[in-house]
Amino acid sequence: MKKSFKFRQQIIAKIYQENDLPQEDIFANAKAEEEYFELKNIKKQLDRYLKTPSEKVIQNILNYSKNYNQALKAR
Amino acid sequence: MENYKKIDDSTLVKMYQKGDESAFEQLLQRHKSKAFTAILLIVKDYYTAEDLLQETFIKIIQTIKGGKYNEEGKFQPWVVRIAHNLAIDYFRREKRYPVIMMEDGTSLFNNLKFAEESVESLQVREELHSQLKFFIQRLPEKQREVLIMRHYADMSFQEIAKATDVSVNTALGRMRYALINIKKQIHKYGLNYEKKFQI
Repeated sequence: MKKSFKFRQQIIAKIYQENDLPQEDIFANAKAEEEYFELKNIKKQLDRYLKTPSEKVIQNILNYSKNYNQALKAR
Repeated sequence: MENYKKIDDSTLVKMYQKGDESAFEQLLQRHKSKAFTAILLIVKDYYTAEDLLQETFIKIIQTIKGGKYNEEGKFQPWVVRIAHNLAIDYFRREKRYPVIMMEDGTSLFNNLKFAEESVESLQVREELHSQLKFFIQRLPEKQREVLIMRHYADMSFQEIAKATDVSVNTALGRMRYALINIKKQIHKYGLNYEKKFQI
């Protein structure tokens, strides 16, 4: 049971490309294989969840940087 | 700007330190969405999140230009960490939550409280992003914490474990439950994610 729990954690590390767990090891277990693909899909959707700030905010930041740079040069 | 896309963060920071504004613009374009999303997931209000994003990058500008940047090779986690710190400060100023204890910069999420989600938020007509945001915000705090760190700060599980003072296995376990819980919520609230997400 403990081994199974650790194996599931290794699957998470695999999904995030943080270990070299062979896919064959996952596919040898039907439940593990199912979880692997399900969670991989959820991860893919979360990766797509990104909100972008308005262009006005980006311009404000860029302007601040330019002004800061000029102020430093003027010293 | 096209030429800057292939340049890594560390090099862009050095170029910016020498006065190259285009290098900074590339850094901003590259990291704005992850930082902004991380803030938005905490404060929930779009305009507040935009204000905090500006504050985040003002700190970044001042730190780099002041020669105090020492996060070699870890620019994005640093950016998101500043964003989170400012989100916490925002809650303190607003006095929405009790004082949050932080021992150091890496443990800043440990006692973070997130705003309560209103019932109205659960509406069928919500946009896909709103739905995902809602699902993330409904996660238990520790799970949400790991998810934000992994997805938006791009921290490894080892780094997350260190930052939250738990074992790597615990961090992995929390991430696993976070993903499972989101999957359950998607099923529970009837989102046809196979169609919407084009799986």
